[in-house]
Amino acid sequence: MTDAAKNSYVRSLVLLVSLVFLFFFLERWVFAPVMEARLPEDNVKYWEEHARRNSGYPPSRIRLALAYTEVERLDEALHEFEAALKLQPHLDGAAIGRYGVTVAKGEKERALTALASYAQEHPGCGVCWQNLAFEYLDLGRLDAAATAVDALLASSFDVESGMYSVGNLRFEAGLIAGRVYAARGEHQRAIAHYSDAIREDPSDLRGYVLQAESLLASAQPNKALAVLDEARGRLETAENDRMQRRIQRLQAQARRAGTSR
Amino acid sequence: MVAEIEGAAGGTSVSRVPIRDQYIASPAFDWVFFIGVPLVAVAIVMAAAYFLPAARIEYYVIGYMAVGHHIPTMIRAYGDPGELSRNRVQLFAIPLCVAPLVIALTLFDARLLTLIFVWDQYHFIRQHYGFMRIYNAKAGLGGDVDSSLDHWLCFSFFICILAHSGFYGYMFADSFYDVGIAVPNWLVNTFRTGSLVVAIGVGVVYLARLQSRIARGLPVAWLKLAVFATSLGVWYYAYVVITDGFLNYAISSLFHCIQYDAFAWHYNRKKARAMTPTRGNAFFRMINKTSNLWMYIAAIWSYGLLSAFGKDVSLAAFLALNTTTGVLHYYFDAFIWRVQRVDFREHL
Repeated sequence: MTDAAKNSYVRSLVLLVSLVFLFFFLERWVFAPVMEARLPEDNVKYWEEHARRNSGYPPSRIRLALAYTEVERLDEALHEFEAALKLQPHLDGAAIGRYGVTVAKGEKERALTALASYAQEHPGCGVCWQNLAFEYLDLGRLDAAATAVDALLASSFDVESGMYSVGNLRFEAGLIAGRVYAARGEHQRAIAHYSDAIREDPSDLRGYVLQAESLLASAQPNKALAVLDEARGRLETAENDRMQRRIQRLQAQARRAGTSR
Repeated sequence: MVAEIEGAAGGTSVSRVPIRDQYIASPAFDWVFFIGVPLVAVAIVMAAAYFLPAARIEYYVIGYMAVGHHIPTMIRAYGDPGELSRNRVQLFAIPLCVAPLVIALTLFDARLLTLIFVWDQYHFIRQHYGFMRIYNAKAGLGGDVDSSLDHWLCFSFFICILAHSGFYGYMFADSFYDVGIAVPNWLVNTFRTGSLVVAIGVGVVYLARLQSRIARGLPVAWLKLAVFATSLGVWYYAYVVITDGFLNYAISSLFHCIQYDAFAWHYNRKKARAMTPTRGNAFFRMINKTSNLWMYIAAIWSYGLLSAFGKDVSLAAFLALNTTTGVLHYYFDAFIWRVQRVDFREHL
């Protein structure tokens, strides 16, 4: 390689590194403050303009719907979610968004009917079944909740959209399944689901606590104590104060139950 | 074989290469892996969409093909002693700079990383332009005017497709906005209209030039036009017509990777066969042996598999690794496959 070529490569390299550093600096200290200073109305304006020129692309409509939701323009948000679904009938993010907005409008029954109908047509939408299970459980419609968790567990747990956050869907599925079966009084089944959830994410203490509750409800205080001991071992800092108190309360309950037997 | 014919234009002697000699590997290989593969990718992805969720299809394509296709770049860059000695500075200095930069940006969760997809698209079209240049060279054609017309044609059409793509319109709007840059509406609209005007203009000039060559009886690189038609046609279909963001990238990435892997294997195998065996080129000859094709495919898939499973162990570490190899793949490709290099053309 000639010296000129080597010099040119070195120059390119220096330029590349400098550009990366420059952009990094701009991102941290120039663009980030600009972004943080944005008002929700700015987001609406930006995404309105974008959606006008990109009206045939469903995620663009969803972004606009989310911007409308942020400023509580719920009718317009609903319209955009509907438009996204019309463009792409299997867009889970739009179905979930439409559900959330309809609930926010105070039309829970209508929201549930629409989401249930979407989930029937798209049984792979795990997040839909999860939402349905939560809501049915909340409403005390336990048979419907059980059907929803069974469908959730049969789904592939694929989360198709970055527009909603469900954390670890397999873990959440185990948890809601356990809660539904516990509410139906089927504690052995609930315990098995909690075990699945704990296996999926042993660091999340909700699995242990709920399992301990089901173990207590099915008169297995010693097993409940063992589960709670494991949970205590995983308690990290004071940030888990509420969880700590709940574990202590359950432990006391388990000890009492163990003594009285 | 080169046939000499009397050109219609002014009785000048024009060399015309028979079409069967214009293929890179063979008619069947080229049509399956280079020219026809964009259509095959559409068929595979759309058929898979009947059975699998779109996100899973994209996951498989990225996992097994897109990440894996960084491997042939490394085999060529570091395995071919000729490339290694010619590009020593770039092959050792750049990774030493890029890797820490990418790791730092990953650790700081810098949004700059998301803008790498701009380079990703650039490398898609650069590869396509490379195929056009190879078919041009195989047809025995050259010339600066044709070369720059090909360049303009590729880039103007591709940019126009991207500018009118709902998928990329959204990706750019979202990524830049998240970085803190709100590109004004008027600028985006001007860019979209401008890209269409330029593409139409270039297309008209290109057709006029083609018509003039045909009228004068000059040879035409039909395979170059065929690969242009299938690739740009499928890009238009994937990026503008299809509205599912998982499927359109899967189609584009799938055919890009198959073309790349197939070309790299064919070229390296041909070069390896022509090498005088030495200890220095033993690895390159071994991995590019026909009987070791399984090894080449296994290497590609292994990296994909390792990354897919590794992300469950440490997402940040494997994102940094994949981004580093991705950036190096884009960068190395800019000089390890240079058609204008005489020694490169020897093994085409």
